[in-house]
Formats: sequence, structure tokens, C-alpha cells
Amino acid sequence: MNTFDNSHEIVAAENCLSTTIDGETVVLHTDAGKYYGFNEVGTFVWESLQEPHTVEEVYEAVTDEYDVGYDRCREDVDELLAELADKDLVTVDAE
Amino acid sequence: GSNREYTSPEVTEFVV
Repeated sequence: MNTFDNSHEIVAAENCLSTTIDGETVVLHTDAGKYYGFNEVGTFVWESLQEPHTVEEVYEAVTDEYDVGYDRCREDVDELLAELADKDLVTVDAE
Repeated sequence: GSNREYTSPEVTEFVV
């Protein structure tokens, strides 16, 4: 499982295509040929990752947009980002 | 202070 430092920069992998179907974001990993679906908050995070952001910036974007405390947001976002990294859906730049 | 209702972000494995 990946762990992230707040300063790590993270961005959606280039080999992904995404679209919205029936209100759900669907992503195709073109190399793996696998399809993934995001729920609403997952979609918000995924869309924010279309440009490089630090992990801390992702926390801030989510807490600004949604009614959630920082600690829970951090725990949830870390879990999501780790899962995305495991699936090669994001690239992490750990400077 | 308009924030949207929060649910934990999820990604599930099943453009076309």
C-alpha cells in the first residue's frame, strides 16, 4: 500500500480516458484495458487530479467543497489515492 | 462557512 506525504505531487495517469455515464464517472485504463467507476466525491478528486496537485491541495479542495472535517477527509483521500496508485491510475512525484 | 453532502470517495473496478 502506498503512503503519501502532504507535499507529494500527484496527477492522473496519461493513459486514462474518462467519461460520464448515467451520472457516474467511468475511466478506462488504456494499457490495462480495465474500467473503473467513481462515486461523486471520488469523481471530484479524480477531476482535480487532471492537473498536478500536492496531496495537501487535494485535501483542501475536498474540505472546501464538502461538509467534512480535515481528519476524516485526509484519511479517506489517502485511502483513495493509495488505491489509485496501486491501479496505476495516478502518477506520484515524491520530491 | 454551501458545502455539499460528503460521502467517502470510492473507486470500483468494473472510453467504450
